Amino acid sequence: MDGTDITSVAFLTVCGLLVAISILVAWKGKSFFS
Amino acid sequence: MGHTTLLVIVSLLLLVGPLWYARRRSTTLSGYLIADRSLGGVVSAFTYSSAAVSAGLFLGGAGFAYVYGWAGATYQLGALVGILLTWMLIAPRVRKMAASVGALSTPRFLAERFECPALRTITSALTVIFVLPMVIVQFRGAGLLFQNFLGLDYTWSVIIFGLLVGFFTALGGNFAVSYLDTIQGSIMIMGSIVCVVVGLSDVGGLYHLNAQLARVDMDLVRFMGEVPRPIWWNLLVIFGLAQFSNPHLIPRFFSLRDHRAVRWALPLSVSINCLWVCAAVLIGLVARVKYPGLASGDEAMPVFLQSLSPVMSFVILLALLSAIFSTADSLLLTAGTNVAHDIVRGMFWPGLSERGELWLAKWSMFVLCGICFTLSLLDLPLITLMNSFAMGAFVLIFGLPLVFGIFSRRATKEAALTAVIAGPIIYLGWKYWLVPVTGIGEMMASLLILIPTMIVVSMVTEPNSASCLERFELTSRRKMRTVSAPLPSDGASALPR
Repeated sequence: MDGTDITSVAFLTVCGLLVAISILVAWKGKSFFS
Repeated sequence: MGHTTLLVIVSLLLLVGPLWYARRRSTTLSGYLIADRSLGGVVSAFTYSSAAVSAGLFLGGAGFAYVYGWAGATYQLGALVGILLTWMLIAPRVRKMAASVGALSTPRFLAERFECPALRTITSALTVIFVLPMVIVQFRGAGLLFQNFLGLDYTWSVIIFGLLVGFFTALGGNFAVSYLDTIQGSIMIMGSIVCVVVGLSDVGGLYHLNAQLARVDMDLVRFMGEVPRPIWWNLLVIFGLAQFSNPHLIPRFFSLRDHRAVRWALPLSVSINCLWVCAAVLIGLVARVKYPGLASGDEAMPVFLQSLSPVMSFVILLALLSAIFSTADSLLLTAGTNVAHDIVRGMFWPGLSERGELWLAKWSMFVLCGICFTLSLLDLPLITLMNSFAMGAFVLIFGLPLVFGIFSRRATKEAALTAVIAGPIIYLGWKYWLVPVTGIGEMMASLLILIPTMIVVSMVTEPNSASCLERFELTSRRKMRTVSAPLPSDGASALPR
């Protein structure tokens, strides 16, 4: 990885984080939904 | 069998199943408009995501990435964060509140919350005014798709596509639309996977793609690239807030069965949209490396398609058509609902029977569809202008009152009316006169002006009645303990039906 990859890696990391948060909230965060 | 014949046959076959499934379930008004609040998480995630994403992402989004590189992707993070927060915070509350007051449409939901029948009239009229240009743009997109990729006549393409969308939506209602969206969303997922796999293998992987982009222009691999900062921020904010502000997306929360459906829909919606955004952006970036001299970014997708094998290009073409159809039918369903339920019955004919309203809703959708495909055949610049303005306008017309309405007990009808009436005026005025002077985007400026104004207006005006707040479960905990009156039953309404 070099300087040209930073944006793509950041973008894909945020996407992955959003998916992970959504799974975690759906799984553990009952209080959000009831 | 040629591409065209196969595409038409497959598209027609896709419509049959959902229509058959919906035929007995759409006989009541609630079944027809909001699927009897019975949709599960998977269908809800797909219908929400397919309705939100049109060919605009796969054609326009890819074009933006072609011109600006990764900066064409990074502003889409606003949309992805918006989807996460919408399903976490907005959808659960809207579902519960809409069920407790029996709301079948967004204008009615807002009118009930703020005890303001005028809000129903104004928002439903504004919805129809701005949704129709959005439908027309989808019809134009379908016409151009058929013309450019299949060699069909534009006029006939628009007419056939319009008739299909009109018949399907009018006959099937929300049940048919939601289940078709699920099928079409699955096709879009297949198309996106093809795009990602083929695109990356074409350029030798992500590392080589970035290296080649950097050789063309270093700005193509920068976070904001050469996109003017006010535009980048504006797009980020608009796309984020639009996820719960568009009038064809909010009723998707009314159709949810229970809180379990929301829990399933949350990760599914986020994952699906991440995949679609990545696929669209990748097409633009790969096209930039492989075909650097295109006259405009909009040609990125057509050129990419031409480079694929017939089977793969067929899958992507079907995915594009699905994206257009799923957005057009949801928009049409919303416009028809607003005409029949909120404008005709709400304003002029309160005594209209449920059967009469159902009949009227079906005919409204069909007539609106006819208007749309007629206007699609005319080259009216006003339509394009209104479409570009619609997403931002809906953030102010629906987004702000909705957020204030479901989270704040103190929010009043005067505050909601301020956003609905002054919002679009501020937005337009800023866009045309003050962006060049201030360097601040029109959406940021409108929010900075309207949010404090709505707070102040809410503080100085008469709050909503206790019974209204109780029905929306917005009573403070201390007061809830002292309330002795029984809660109204499901579907209790303060407004005339």
